[in-house]
Amino acid sequence: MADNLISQLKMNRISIIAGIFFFLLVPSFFFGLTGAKAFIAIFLFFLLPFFLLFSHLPIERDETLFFSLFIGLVVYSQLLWTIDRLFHNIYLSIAVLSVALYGIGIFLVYRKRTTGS
Amino acid sequence: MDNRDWIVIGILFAVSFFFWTLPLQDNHLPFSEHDGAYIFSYGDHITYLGRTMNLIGDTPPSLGGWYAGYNILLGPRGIVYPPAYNIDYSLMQIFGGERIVPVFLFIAFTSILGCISMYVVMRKLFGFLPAILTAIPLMFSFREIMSYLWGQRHNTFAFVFIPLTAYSLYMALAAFYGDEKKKHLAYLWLYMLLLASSSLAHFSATAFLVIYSLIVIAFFFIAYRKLPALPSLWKQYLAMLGVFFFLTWMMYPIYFSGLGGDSGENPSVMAVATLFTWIDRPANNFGLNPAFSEYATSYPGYWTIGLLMVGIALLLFSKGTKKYFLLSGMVALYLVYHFPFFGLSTPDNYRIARFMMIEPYFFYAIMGVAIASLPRFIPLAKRGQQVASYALAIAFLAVVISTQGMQAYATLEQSYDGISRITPAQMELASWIESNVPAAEGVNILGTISYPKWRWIQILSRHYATQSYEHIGRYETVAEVKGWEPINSTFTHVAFDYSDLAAMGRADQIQQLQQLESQAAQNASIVYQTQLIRVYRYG
Repeated sequence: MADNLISQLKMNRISIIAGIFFFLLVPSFFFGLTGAKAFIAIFLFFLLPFFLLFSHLPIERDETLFFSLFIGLVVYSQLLWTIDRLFHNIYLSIAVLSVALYGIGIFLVYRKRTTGS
Repeated sequence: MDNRDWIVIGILFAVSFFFWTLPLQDNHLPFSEHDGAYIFSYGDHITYLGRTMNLIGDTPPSLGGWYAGYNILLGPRGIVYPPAYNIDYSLMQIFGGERIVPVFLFIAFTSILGCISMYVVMRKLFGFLPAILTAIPLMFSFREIMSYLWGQRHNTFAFVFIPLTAYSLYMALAAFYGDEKKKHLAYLWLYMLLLASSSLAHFSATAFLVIYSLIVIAFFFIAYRKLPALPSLWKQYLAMLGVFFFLTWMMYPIYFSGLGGDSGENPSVMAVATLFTWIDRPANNFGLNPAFSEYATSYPGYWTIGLLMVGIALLLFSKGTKKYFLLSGMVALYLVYHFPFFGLSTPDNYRIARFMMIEPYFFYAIMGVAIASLPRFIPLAKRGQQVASYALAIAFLAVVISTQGMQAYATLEQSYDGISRITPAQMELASWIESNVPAAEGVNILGTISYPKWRWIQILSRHYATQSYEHIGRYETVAEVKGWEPINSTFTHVAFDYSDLAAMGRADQIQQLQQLESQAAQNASIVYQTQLIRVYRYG
């Protein structure tokens, strides 16, 4: 699956790792572990689940990256609020929503790899 | 985009992150005017509760009557923003493990996304040189910097969605007229999600984007003489509308059942003559610092208007549809600036001024197109024209960096230094209040020098606070609530904060405060004492 995503991004594995490392390095250079954790949160909550969800769209992968981040910044939290009407516990709601989003996203990537659609 | 673009994006991210976090690098305490404190309290309260807030009756108690009475349907303690952005703060706190820094890193990061997304969009539509000529000046966008520092968080956040939302619609339309149905639908779905996202961030972005969308659709319609919709796709369109309303349903009572607290002071509409101006700045500069709306602070000089005109002319006479992306932005800006003429706002409404944050996106993009295109008119070989383009670009960026860049650095580096933001001693006071003052009781904070600072103490202490020199002692007050039963607040504690006055050397004010404190000491007991701050409790 990771290979598939990397090939979709048209970047090699080293570039991807370097990109993520740089994304975390800059804030941690100025703000230490807190900076790194904040940007890991941005990556895990907002970017990655939506990147997986949108990876089957017939658009360029670099576009998918930015669309995912922007949409994730609001839609993740909006869905979290909706789910939390049920649980009234933000930690539980984060867990449920993350499992759901990652689950659907991974399924879509897997389906694309196996069926090409 | 290729590896060169990723390197540019990496540099844009690193440099803009360095710039925009300058106020936070040496001082990890929060900064902003009172709006920023108010907005912070929502996300902070979610973390504190361990759950997200209900629409009604669930706002932080520390807010008391602050902005209350705004909403007919949701009441005095109904939330005043759609919850997503506030939840983002909470997620940062939870995952970042700290109360202040992760949130402010998030604020800085989301504020710089405008320049990065403009790079991506311009790179896709107009190429490398116009993209870099747009993105670098936007790193130093003075209006966004001011809004960021002042704390109009939702607005700043919402406007960064504009480039990508506009791009997704442009691509949906281009795909439609290019007979690429799958791409059309994909971009349309993304457009819908981005429009919903920007709406949930701040409605002013939606106002701009709706107008922008109508204009760009009109441009395409005129060009192709065909409406950009297929009856066979009605199920998809219906599904998009359904998802949009599912995501945004709560914003309607929040945004549209207010009691009109936003109306300007001058109800008169704009004169017809103002239609012949780009923007009609009222005498009071929309109630904002004049630097916010001045052309000279946001662009390297008035000579750039010439560059802008050249860019517009080049776009108008260019072939293809890409020009619609930028020209629609200009038309939409003109229309939102002239809302008062159409009776949609008042001429001095500060919300008109806030639209000016969008302007540099389109102005710098058009200037970038002009700089990249102008050398084509020089009678040189293609290679020579390329060299000339890059030489012009370097010269332009050198001017931008030496003017806008230096201005941005100075502004961000010097903002909220020293006692102009909450100090460690005041943060300690807030923590003590949180832990020791009963939840239902408020605190009168005297001596703290500015309104935003005692508001920050109020928010961080999670208690309602006031600053009243008339009522030294236990007293009750009724908050001003429009159309709703009043909110009572009981103040039992009074804090005497000498820290700011001592730092400024204001001996006379210290003496006045000491006199008040000696009165308090006769009737109340001291419950908190540091070198420069003391708190008394009235029975």
